[in-house]
Formats: sequence, structure tokens, C-alpha cells
Amino acid sequence: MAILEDPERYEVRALTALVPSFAGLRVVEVGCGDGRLTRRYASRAASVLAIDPDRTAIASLPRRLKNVEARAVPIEELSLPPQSADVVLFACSL
Amino acid sequence: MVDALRSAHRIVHPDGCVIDLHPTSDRPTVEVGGRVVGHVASGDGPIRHAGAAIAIANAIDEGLFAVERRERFCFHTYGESHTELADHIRTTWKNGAIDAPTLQRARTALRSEPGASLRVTERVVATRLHPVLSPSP
Repeated sequence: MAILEDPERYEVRALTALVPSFAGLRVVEVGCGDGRLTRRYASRAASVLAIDPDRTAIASLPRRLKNVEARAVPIEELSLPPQSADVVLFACSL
Repeated sequence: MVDALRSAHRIVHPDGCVIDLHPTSDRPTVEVGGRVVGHVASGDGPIRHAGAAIAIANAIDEGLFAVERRERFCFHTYGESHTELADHIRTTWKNGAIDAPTLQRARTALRSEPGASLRVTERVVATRLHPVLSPSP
């Protein structure tokens, strides 16, 4: 057995309680790291912009998540139009 | 931290939301068979996590957001052995470590109860925030 993180899926249940459906939503995930949380919801979202100032961590974000764009940038330096995201998700990054 | 929430406020749609997940300032526990044998030392983790809660409170005070809903849950990380779990914590957590006495207690507990689960438990709070003021165009 390798390391198992949240096999009970309590994190996903909590996220689902807060955002019942990601369908059609434009998500900005802040502090995505290696995409551990990203891959749990990204396939259902319209688009995901996953950002993290750590270039090493973000380099391991799975390439197969085709609707996910990754950028190595902190949110304070993120250039996005106002009101352009439906969900801004801080993943242990505040 | 509040700056990050101000940035989020600018880019989020008025009908959208901001979601924050962060561990509470409670020390993560090392458990064997569901029984606590020690804690994970996480450096300035409790201070950082408390800071996240303060940042949210400040953003609410500024009138940027209102809390719509909160959820609390436990995030478990399981390992097959105490050394595997300790290595994982050391390499993936910021300043995370399981000290030698805790590892020894975990090993002793696992020997007396073969097959018992070995895990680290973090308490996490998840918050949905609704933007209050109209973001500037």
C-alpha cells in the first residue's frame, strides 16, 4: 500500500456541499500545487485556471487534465478581467 | 492574505463564490487504530492556518464577503508503515515532521495490533464566501 490521502473522500464531500455542481463553471484554483485537489473536480468544470507560485509543484500538475491551464504566479499578480471567474478556490493557500 | 482575498474579490463574478479550505490550528494527530499516539510538528503551520482564518474575518469586516456556509471535516493520510508515513510528511508538508518518540509509540502500537490503520489526521474547515460589494469594473 502506498500513501493514501483522504480515501474516505471527506474533502470532496465538503467541497460538494459548498459547490454542488462545477458544471459550466469557470474556476480559478489558487495554490493548486501538484493538482491533488484539481483532478477531483476539474473534469466537471467548464475551465480551470490552476495557479501556484511554486514552479516545481505546478510542473507536476497532470497534463491529461485538458480543460486545466496552469500558471506559476501568485493571485496578486494574476492578470484576469474583473468578474471573470465563477469560483475562486483557495486550496490551503491563504 | 487579505490581499489575496481582495484579488479574488476583483475577479469573481457577483453571482459566484470564493471557497477556502485550510487546516484548523489544531495540531495534526498521528493515530494507530484510531487512537492518538502523538502529533505532527508542523513548524509555523498553526500560525499560518490561524492567519488564514484571520484573513477571512478581516475580509468580512471590510465588507468584501459574507459567509454562506461552512463545513468541517477530517483529512486522513494513511501509510503502511511509520517510516513511510514519516517520510511522506517530511517531504510533502511545509516544515512537517513526526518526532522520534511519536514514531516509537506508533511502531509499538502497530506491533501490538498488527493490521491496525496508521494515519495522520488534520482538521480542516471549508468556507463558501459570497462577494458582497460590486467588484470594480
